Amino acid sequence: MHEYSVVQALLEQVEGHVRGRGAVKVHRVRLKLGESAGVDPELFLTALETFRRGSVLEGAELEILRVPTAWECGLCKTPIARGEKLQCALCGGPGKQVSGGELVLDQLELEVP
Amino acid sequence: MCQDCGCGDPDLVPLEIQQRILWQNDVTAQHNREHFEAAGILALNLMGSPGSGKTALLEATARRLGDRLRLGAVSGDLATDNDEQRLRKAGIPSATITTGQSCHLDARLVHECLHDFNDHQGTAGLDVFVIENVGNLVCPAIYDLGEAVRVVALSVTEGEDKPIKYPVMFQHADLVLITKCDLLPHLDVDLAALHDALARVMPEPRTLLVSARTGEGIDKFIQFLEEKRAGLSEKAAAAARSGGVTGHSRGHAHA
Repeated sequence: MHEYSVVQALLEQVEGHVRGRGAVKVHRVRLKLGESAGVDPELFLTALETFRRGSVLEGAELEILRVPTAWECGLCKTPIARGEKLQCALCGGPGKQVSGGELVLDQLELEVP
Repeated sequence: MCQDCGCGDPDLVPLEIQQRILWQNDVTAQHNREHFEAAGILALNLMGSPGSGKTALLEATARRLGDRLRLGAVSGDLATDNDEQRLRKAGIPSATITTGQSCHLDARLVHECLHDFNDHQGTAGLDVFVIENVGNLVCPAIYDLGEAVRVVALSVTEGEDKPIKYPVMFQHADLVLITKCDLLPHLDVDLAALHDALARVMPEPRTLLVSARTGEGIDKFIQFLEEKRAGLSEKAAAAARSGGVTGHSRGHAHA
């Protein structure tokens, strides 16, 4: 259940940005959550809904972009299909992950007096 | 405040942040990494399920190590210091990070422990510092601790599909130790299927069959440690040539 720790980190992160900008409220927050970021989206949402009460994110519009995992050959860039071995079928190069690892605070919309 | 029409509405400022949520952990992990590199110590994050044989592997390693490398270790544990006691008996200077309800170690916990370890037992002369993570195939995977090398212990009794079920844990591993291999004659486990599963979650899977009980594969694991430790020295020497090992401030705030 490390999702609770991740949510705590997110709240501290947002608080930092709010303080830094002298904002009074967060109107909108957008996160990127990769399929292989190691965070369960449902648990993460449950944790977020629990912990954001009384926090800087209370009442903010929440948008979560789910990013699918994708791999390609690290040498010739040929895409590697889902579930396949992570070695290029054409040149034998090792796979390189191109997306899906994101665990990112992407955007904030802050109310600044 | 809106300056355009005088309506008095507050300004809404859209910001592109694009910052990792765990950025603070990343910063502390990098700091730990600089500690380890400056001391010439190979830091190893050892992960795996509860009961996969992480501690037994270290005991067996200590038995075969001779003068080849000096090991230190810290074990993450929810409630006990059993692993620390076992490792001490095996001759490995050792400590415990008690995590309580937390299912993983993070960089801050390791940083605090590192300073305690240094004050009480000393890290001088150590070649390898093993961070034995909390037994768990999920949560520890996303926390960088400042290690140079990630090793996952997977015992032959856990099932061939574990890498597919827990891809994040295996994806970032430098080595997978297939432990308790002395049990293979008694099991129906299909090693080819296990290697196939690993190849679908790791771009360049590297594995070793090991048994803490018989000692099989332990010498190869020690060779792996020696190889990685030698690589670290080369890196440090190259960094020194380019003007200093790290930008690490000695005057950082200690917990």
